[in-house]
Amino acid sequence: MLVLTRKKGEKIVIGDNIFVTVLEVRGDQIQLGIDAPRAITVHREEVFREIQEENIKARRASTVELQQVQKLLGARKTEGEEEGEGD
Amino acid sequence: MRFKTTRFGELEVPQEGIINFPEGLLGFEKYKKYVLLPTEENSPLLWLQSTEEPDLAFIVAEPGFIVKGYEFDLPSEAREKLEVEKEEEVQVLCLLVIPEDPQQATVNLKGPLVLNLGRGLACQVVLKEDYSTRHPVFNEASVSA
Repeated sequence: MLVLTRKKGEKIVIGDNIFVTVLEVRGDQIQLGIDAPRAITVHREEVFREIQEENIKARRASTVELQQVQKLLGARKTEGEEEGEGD
Repeated sequence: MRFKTTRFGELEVPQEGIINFPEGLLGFEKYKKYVLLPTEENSPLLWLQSTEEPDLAFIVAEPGFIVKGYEFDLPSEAREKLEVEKEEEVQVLCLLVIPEDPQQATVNLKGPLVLNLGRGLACQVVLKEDYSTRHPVFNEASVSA
């Protein structure tokens, strides 16, 4: 891993079009400003990881479980219809 | 196109039925081609089946059937990747996680799939909006109401 030391207000450049600026340093919190082309996605790592984990859980789907959920959804739908369509 | 699946045997799908995920799904970046298969008649649930890995399939749903008032701004990078011209051409699907107890099923509202079926392109987006990756499908309120 490349390690760089930066001060408040200083930047690093990734490639030729991604700029990361250190905006604020307060105790163990650092505020970063990121300028990147629109096609580049930037996210907090933990959100990314969480979605990855959910995807991995989602792939274990079996047809048996699907049928059970199907039934529950069907039951809920009928209940909703009895109450009137709402919305 | 012909391909094998673990759950549905060998399938044949016309080329235009193949959906390309140029970046794959998070955690499954290797697999780029999928098809949508119906589950039961009148069901909001669909299978998203990989054409490249027989065992790789997800249960997905149009979020409108599961939660009310789910809305988000289409991230601009998705708009570019999927060559979206009009927002109406975009379809949204969310992945379901169904544990042993199906009452505990959850839907990922934070990382939906966005599809531009006209172009055969899709991607998984991470929303800025404050949605849960594990939103309960059957919340107690809707059951007892």
